[in-house]
Amino acid sequence: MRAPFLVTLPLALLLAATPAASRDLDQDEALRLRNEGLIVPLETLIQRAMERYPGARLLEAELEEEDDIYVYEIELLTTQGVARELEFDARDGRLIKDEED
Amino acid sequence: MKSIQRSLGLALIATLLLVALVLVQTSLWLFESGLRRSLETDLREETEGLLIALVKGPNGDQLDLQRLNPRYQRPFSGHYFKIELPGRTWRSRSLWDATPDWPARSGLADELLDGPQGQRLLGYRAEYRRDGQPIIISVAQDYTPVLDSFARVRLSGLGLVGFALLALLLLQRYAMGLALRPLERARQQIAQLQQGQRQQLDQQAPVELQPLVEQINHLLSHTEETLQRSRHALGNLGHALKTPLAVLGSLVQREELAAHPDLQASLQEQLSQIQQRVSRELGRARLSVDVLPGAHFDCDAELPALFDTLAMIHRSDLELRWHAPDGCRLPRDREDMLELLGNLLDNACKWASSRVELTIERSGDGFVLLVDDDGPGIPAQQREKVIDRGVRLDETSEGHGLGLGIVSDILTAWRGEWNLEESPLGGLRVRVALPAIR
Repeated sequence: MRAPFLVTLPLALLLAATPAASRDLDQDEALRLRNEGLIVPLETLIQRAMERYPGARLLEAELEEEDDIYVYEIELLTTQGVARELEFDARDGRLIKDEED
Repeated sequence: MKSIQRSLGLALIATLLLVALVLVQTSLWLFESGLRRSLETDLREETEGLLIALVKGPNGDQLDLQRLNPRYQRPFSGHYFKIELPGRTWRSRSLWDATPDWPARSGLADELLDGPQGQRLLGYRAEYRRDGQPIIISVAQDYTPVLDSFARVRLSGLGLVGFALLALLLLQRYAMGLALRPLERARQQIAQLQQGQRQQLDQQAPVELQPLVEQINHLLSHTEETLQRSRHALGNLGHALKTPLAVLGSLVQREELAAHPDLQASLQEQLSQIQQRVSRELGRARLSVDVLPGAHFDCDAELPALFDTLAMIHRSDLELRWHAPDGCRLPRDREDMLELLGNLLDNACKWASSRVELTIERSGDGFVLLVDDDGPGIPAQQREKVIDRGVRLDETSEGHGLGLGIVSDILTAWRGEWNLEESPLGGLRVRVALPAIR
């Protein structure tokens, strides 16, 4: 019982201390936000990312809330085998960042 | 033109295409239904695994993420689930914001579901009860890779069918050529028949052609028989008329009629006309049929006998000669040829002073016959007349009888040509050109 507590307490403190809180949203929240029309469907963003890197494979997608802005982080594996991380504004699908992971 | 080859080929293609398509489609269908059964088992096991992952926690039911397959975590991974309890629902993270139409009935869904990113999902729904509450677990798996590979298999199967068809067509063409070869042989034999090189078709034909060959042989012997019969009938008629005509001829000479010279002369003339007419018609009737099967004139066998006869009939001081290629066989009826040569040579012997020569030469596919004598010959301006109106001239010149008239008839029937020239021997040369028989 002790060990988990000793690990979780500093983590919680660290999280609380971070001013610009960024939070990962789960699938249920994503579905709700999409149904409410607050964010674009993930499929659209993936399509957009694929247009930049044809033939690439989707590795991971995450929806984050940073300072009340929803950001989609999409990780792709290009045909050359390079992993890239793309960030989109989840509200309008605007590309924010495209860099090698 | 209608081609046996083509119609057989079309029938073959149609049959094979139908069989091949049915085979390819059926085997794919059987394979797919087997695959779906196996996938159904997998999916059911997935639902059971999810049921195990649903554990009792301090805050009621919760999903143990440790027990979940990682492929349910990656968005749009192609493996999805949804767990429904009366108060709560879990969706796999892989589903993210997609909402497929989950099957409404338990078991494997009949139709494929539409998933994210154009995926086609094979869905399965299981209903369980635990702790008195119903649990509905639906799972789905991306089926597009299977569909893609099936399309590829179908395409390569069709390619294989096309290749097999092509190979079979070539094989069939070859077999057909082989099968039709006896027909070509029969055609060649019929051509030989026409050229007089054989009497009948070869009996040793394939079973399928045997009836045809037999029928043709039968027809040939029948034709031959009929021809012989009508020749005999005409010959008999000619002979039958000869005696009465001879009797009439001697009756005309009797003294009772000598008192009426005009009447006698007129009767005599009419009688000789009847005689000529009968002889000519007999000759024509024999010529009315083209070359008979097997009819040919063997120079080596026939010419010596013919020249012996001529030597016997004519003056003994005549020098008779003939030249012909070795083994020369003229593809014409023997009797007609004897008649033709006999008449020409007889004429030559009558006019010759010491020499008569017959020369037979090949000329292309046909033959040329030359009859030369060293007699007085015929002046150039009259030669045409002899050819054009040979009969009329014959009638006026005593002793020639029908000779040149029959020659003319025979050559017309053979589509041959003849003309008169000056002979190197000094007299007349008769040149006869016999075309090849088509």
